[in-house]
Amino acid sequence: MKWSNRTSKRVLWLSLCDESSKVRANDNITVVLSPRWYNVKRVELPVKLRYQALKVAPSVFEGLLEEGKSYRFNAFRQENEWTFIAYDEEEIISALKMCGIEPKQVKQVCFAQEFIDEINVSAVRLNDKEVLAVIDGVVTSVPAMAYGDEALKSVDAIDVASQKGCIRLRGNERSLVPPRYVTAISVIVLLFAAIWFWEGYRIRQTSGDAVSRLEAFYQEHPSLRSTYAQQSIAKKYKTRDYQERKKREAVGKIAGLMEEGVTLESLELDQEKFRAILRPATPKAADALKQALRRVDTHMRFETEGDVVVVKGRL
Amino acid sequence: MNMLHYRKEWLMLIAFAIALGAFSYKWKAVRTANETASASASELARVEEIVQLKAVWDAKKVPSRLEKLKESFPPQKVIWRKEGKKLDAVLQKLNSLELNRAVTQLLNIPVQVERLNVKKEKEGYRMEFRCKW
Repeated sequence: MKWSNRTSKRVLWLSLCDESSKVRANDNITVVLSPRWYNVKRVELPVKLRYQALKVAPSVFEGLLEEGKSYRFNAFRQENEWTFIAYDEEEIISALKMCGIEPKQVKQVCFAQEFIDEINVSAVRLNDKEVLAVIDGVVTSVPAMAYGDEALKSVDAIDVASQKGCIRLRGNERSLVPPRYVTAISVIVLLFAAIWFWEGYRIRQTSGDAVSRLEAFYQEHPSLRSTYAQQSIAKKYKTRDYQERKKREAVGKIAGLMEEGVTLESLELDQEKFRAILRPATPKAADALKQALRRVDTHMRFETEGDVVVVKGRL
Repeated sequence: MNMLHYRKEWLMLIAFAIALGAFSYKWKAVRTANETASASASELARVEEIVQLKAVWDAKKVPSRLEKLKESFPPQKVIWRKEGKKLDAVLQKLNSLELNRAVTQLLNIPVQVERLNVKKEKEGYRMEFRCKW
């Protein structure tokens, strides 16, 4: 499979092809149709764009085309008029196949009408029997005998490289997607692509906000920028916080036990343990105290020593 | 095969490829943003916690608050020995309300309590404590 600009370019005037025309399998051929292969009409229309002209093409040829055939249309501007071409693609493909040319080998199909400027200067000899000449603004096939032995240039002298009115054969090609949907699908897909790209861009922009807040925080507390400093400070204060909270919780719980009828005899607390001696005034207060101790904290141990209750625990 | 015959299909394929690329770009942006936000949020929470702990255990106001504690009791009940950032103190002859007030005030100050002893004596409670900051 090769791209057209890498293969040899050949121009074939369809009327000239015969069994001796040799075509390589990978050729990209430009086929030029002589007037016998198409119908032409020149019309002045108040439209500017080709697709607008193509919409009215069937009505331009109304009543002029053979019935029973399926025609395709082409349109291009020449001077102040639109030139409409009606052609039967199947007929053209059949003719090409008779020349041993497959549609896939054809790069483009042009119409002799497109070269009106060159042919208008001087008629060109198509073959021994036909000459192309311009009559009333239309490239027409004229019998060669009308020109006798007059020296005429050959069609090979016509430059077919840069014409814009050429078409591509659709022929027997099968598209996976109907051609009319391809543009719409592509546009929709590209629209989604643009939306996703924009969303991704915006997300990248806003994700910088979290980093900005962090950076602003570090500017207020530059000493915490270092991970090592963070870990060191955190360890120091977390340890202290944990130990002191444990002490305060222990004292708070002991204070909560001293309800009606219970007095504190002593309290000893240091870095590792605590010990409190509580004296309930009555047996009822003693029972209430023990029940309260069972509810308060399973890490507190208590024992009764005479008429006092000793509460112990580790921090 | 002439590629130009299928140029519309190729254009559609290119459009899909561009869309796929854009979708990947967005997906990666979302993932990166989530990771960055998550990492930044956890780091911010961590350092904010450190700052809060530092604020709680800020030693700057401790001396003045200990001084208030000392002054809230009659001088004859107070034995106060302060050396640098360490304090040894005794509050004696306290009734139960005064003891409660003293213990509550002390434990509300962000000091490290090394030792706290309370003992009931004849004249009242005796509270000894050693702390540093």
